[in-house]
Amino acid sequence: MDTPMSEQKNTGTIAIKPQVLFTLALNAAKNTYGVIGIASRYTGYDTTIRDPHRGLEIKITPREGQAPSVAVDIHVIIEYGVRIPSVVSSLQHQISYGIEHGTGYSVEDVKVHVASVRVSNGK
Amino acid sequence: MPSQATSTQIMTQNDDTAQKTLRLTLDGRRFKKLFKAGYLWLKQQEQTVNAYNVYPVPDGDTGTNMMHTMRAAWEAIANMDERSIGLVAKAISAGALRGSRGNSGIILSQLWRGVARSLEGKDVADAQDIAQAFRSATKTAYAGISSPVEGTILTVSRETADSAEQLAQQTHDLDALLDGVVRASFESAQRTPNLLKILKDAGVIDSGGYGFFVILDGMRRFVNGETIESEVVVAATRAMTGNAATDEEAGYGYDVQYLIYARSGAQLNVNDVRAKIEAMGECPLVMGDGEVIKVHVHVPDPGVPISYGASLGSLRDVVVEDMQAQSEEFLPGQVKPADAVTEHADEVDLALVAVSAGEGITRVFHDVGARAIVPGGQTMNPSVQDILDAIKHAKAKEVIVLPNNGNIILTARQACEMSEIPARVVPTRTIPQGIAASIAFNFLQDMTNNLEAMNAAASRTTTCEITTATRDVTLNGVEVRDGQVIGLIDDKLACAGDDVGVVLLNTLEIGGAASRELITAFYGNGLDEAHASALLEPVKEKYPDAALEVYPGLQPHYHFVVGLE
Repeated sequence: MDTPMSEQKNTGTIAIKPQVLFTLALNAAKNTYGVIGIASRYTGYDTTIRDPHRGLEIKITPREGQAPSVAVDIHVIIEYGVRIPSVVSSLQHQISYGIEHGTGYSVEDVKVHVASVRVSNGK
Repeated sequence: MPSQATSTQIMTQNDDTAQKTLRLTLDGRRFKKLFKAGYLWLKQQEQTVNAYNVYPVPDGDTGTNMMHTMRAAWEAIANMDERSIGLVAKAISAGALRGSRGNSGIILSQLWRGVARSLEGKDVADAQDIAQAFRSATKTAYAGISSPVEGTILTVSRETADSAEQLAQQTHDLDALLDGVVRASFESAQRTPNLLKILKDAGVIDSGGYGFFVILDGMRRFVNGETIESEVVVAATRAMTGNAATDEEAGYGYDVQYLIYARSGAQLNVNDVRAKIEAMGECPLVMGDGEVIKVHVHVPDPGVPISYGASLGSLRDVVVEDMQAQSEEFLPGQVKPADAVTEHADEVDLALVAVSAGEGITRVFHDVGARAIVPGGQTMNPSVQDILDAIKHAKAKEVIVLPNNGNIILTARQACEMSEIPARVVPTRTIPQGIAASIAFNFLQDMTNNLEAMNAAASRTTTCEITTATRDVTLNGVEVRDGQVIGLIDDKLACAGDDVGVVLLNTLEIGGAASRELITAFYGNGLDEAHASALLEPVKEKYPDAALEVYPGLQPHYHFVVGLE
């Protein structure tokens, strides 16, 4: 999982560690309207600060002659009152845009699990 | 001790209310802060907004255009310390109007104009006033567009206004109102594909509507106590120099370098100098000893570090360079300001002003009689102010403006409305249309006759453009992969392929080149003459009856722009 994906360019090798994609996806989720945080995939509790790895998984599959393909699995907590399908589709777009724009990999799949809905009083 | 007792009471009261502060009114100062948050958040999300582009072409992008419009508005109020919300809104409206770029920018500036109208004469605004401002914004924006399309920023602004009015009935708390309108604008933006088929086909939501939501969302994030990244940087640099122009938005500023030689008998303190210079600007570099110190810094005003240096000792080897001018020279495909600004000594009755993209196309426009050129076009849409400057620059009693791009027509119309010199627009959507219109221009005729002839010439021209797709999309039944070559006919996707030559031939065939007399081809800045003529050879063979003219257009992004007449 931690071996960097590498790509041979005529000037040398570009290697992107999975952690980079993780950060891109996490940041995209944080910037998405209506998403409050990442939930643990086991307990459903908010794990945004403690360990977002528990609710955000990224699989990278190398492909012959093409940019690697990426599948994202993310468990989120959503703000009470927003239309969940809208937020989810926006989240999918933000994540795939963030990763594709940043790394050039192609995001094939973003699975969003809505773990819970929380009433927030504007923090 | 009665006075002490009262003061304690007041304090506890304050503590109580602090826990659930309701913000009931909004004044100019806070409005300015909110506006800034909206602008900075949009700036940060610019690329995300751009990604919702329907066409996979490197066009003047919505996010960028909206950001520039907001930036111009922000610059208009950056130095204001005004309590009256009406006056702040008025300044925003004026700034946005002059700085607006692209269709989305124009609509955004109309929205701010509506807000300003509604808040005029008010010092503070309550929930009702804000709801009215939203409504007025929507009305002004709808009124400014000749044929409003649903499923765009207009719809999003209208539905947001609906929600603002409803919320204002229920609450007086402005923060709650803001929360509600952000939610409404988000959902409205998500619904746009249901209203506009082209969005659904492309699998995106409307970028302008999304941009509208992003601005409001930035305000909400600010109210919730989030720091929007670049805000810190901007505030910090300003505090250091006490100069508002330090705003990183002001551009690149000046690169200042010099040597300070200590006056005889005196010693220089390197650490003092370093501390002072570091506070002045970016990329500071201070090296030396007690005798001589080398200083390098990027600042908006070169006078500041120079007079500071001169106060310490004698200056040598002073170098001051305008980095903005330098960076402009390096931007590919941009017309250098010098080209656009040739002074006209004489005044004429009627003149042409054309928006151009690419050096070669600018030259052609000069040749066919344009008096002033507005640099811009595909990637960087010009602002209203840019066009106003060009109109003035043409030195004529009346002016005809050729926008030469669908996304600039509204900007041009706006500029003509604001212009002191009477000016009209021939709504040319492409460069070949603009050139056809320019050729139809007759300076001996009056405005009306010219407009008629030019409109007719433009509408006779079919435009084929060959470019590279910037993402995957399926539109009009054509499937496109990122990086493929695509052909557009009058801005509509016609075909795709892997080879420029093949796509060129296919596009011309679909565009009906067989029945045309004149094929004018402009090749882009990625091709050289030999390469271009090799690609055009099959075109010549296939259409022997048509006259083929080839020019180096040197336009960015587009391999070929071809006019069929």
